[in-house]
Amino acid sequence: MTADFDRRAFLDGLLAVGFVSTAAAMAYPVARYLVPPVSGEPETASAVAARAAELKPNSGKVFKFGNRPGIVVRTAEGELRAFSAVCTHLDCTVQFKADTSQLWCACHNGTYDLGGNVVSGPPPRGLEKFAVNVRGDGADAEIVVSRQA
Amino acid sequence: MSFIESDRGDRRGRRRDVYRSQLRVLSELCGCFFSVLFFVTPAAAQSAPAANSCLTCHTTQQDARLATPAALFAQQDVHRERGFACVDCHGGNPAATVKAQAHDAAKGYKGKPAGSQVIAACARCHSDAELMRRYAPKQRVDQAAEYATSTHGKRLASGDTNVATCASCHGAHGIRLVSDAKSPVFPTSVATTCASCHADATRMAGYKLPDGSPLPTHQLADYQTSVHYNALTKGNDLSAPTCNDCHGNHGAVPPGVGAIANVCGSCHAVFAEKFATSVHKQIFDKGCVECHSNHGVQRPSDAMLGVTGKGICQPCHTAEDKGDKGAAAAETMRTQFEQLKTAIEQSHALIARVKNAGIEVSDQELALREANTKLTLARTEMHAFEPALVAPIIKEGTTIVAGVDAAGQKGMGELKFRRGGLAISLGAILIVVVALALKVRHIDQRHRI
Repeated sequence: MTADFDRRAFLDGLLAVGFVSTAAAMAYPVARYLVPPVSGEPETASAVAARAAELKPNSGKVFKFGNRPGIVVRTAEGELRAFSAVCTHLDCTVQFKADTSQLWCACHNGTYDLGGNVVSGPPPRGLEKFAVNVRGDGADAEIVVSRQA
Repeated sequence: MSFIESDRGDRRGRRRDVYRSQLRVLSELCGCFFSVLFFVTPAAAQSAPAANSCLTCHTTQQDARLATPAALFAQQDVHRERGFACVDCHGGNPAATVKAQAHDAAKGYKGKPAGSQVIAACARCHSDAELMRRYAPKQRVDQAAEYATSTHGKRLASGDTNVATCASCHGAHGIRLVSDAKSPVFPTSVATTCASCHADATRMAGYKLPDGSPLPTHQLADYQTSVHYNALTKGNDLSAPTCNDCHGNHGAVPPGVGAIANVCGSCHAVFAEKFATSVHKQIFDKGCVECHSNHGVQRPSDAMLGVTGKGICQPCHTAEDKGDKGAAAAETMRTQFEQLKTAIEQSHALIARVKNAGIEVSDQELALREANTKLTLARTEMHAFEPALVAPIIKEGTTIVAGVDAAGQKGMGELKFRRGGLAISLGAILIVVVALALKVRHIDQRHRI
């Protein structure tokens, strides 16, 4: 009789532990969904910057590279180059200036050459360079910009 | 047969020996020629003799004043490395082993140059375009001419030998290239080199600024608190300005009245352009320095704009004077900056909450960057001191932030909807579980009956 009772109490206890553990395993993801942890986002590695037809020689286009702006340029010679469009001085967005064939920041008149190097003004260093690849042919070919390894 | 072959073999062998001997002599001659070509520099070939008794004698002197220059020159020195010797600056006879002959004035011995003699000694080569082209083709040759226009040069010409000459900054022996990080005129060292005289109150005593006030000696201390010093030394930005970038190096003078905005504008071009159109252009004798100081330029803040608290528009403008247009303009622009800044910060916080809930907000993050760009542009435009020019830029920024806020609120709505849906489905599951439990209990009870 005592042995039977002990066995039943043990099984009840085991079931209770199992039930609580299962409930906790279900509740934890729900709780983390409702109150998510602060987490970083992986950096964007690649983006389609433009279609080939959009970029005439000696022109540039600012595009979305993750949550930051990038700029892709087609030089007068037809070569494609891409950089981060975030000015290294105070994080303003740089733009392409066709008259000087340079990248220019309107905030404090910082200028960069088409190698991303500082030409004049207060920027302390050059722009981050990206790799450019063209996917497809013709006017609809995609200009794919990737972060360099 | 064997005799003939043996004779031919001997002759061939003798001929081979002759050829080898001739080749050896030829190669030795070539060796000597190339040794002379590569290891004897033009200057050495022109002026320096085979022996340099200057170093031999001076390095063994007990008096440090005589031994140290020779020791420094014998170590790393840009002139020695290019074949120049003591005699090129000091004259004398380096081949002599007796002091009287080595220091023979008839041999051009000048001893230790001082004052204008230093300028002349350096300029003898450094102002010679043809000579310099052989050693440093890109180097300018107008240093001596520039020096003559400097405050140092003018005072030296008037007989003041206390002023800096070439050797004061570059050193006299053990001279390194300007691009050498150990050079006293490398960008990170210029300020301390200038301060070795200019922070010395005793040495600066008696010197005055153009306005007649005593020449201060706290420039280095001020500069070391500045945003420029911080960028140069901590940000590793060698293009950040140090003394010579504003004052000039060889032609060093304090920027005169009216020239300061040009000097600052050589880097901060947009500010200089805006300032040139402002009402302050005619009033501020010291240009940019009136608000930003000179050596101790601090990182500017919005708090500087205004007539209360840390506002630097006071005491020229006052909050008490309700008719003061300048005070009103400053307060208007400051309020606009603060409003946009606060809106961007709040929007950032909202977007961060939405992003953390797993909702895509990269477009909004990009838009907030653009709003920040507008804020920076507005701060730049402020230097024209015309609120009407600032307002449209602030409005563009505010519009961007409003769009981001709307998207953020939509995201928060979506988040609430998802949480509500989760609560409802969890509640439904719970009801089913309870109902199932009750049903099982009911069935058990029926079976017992």
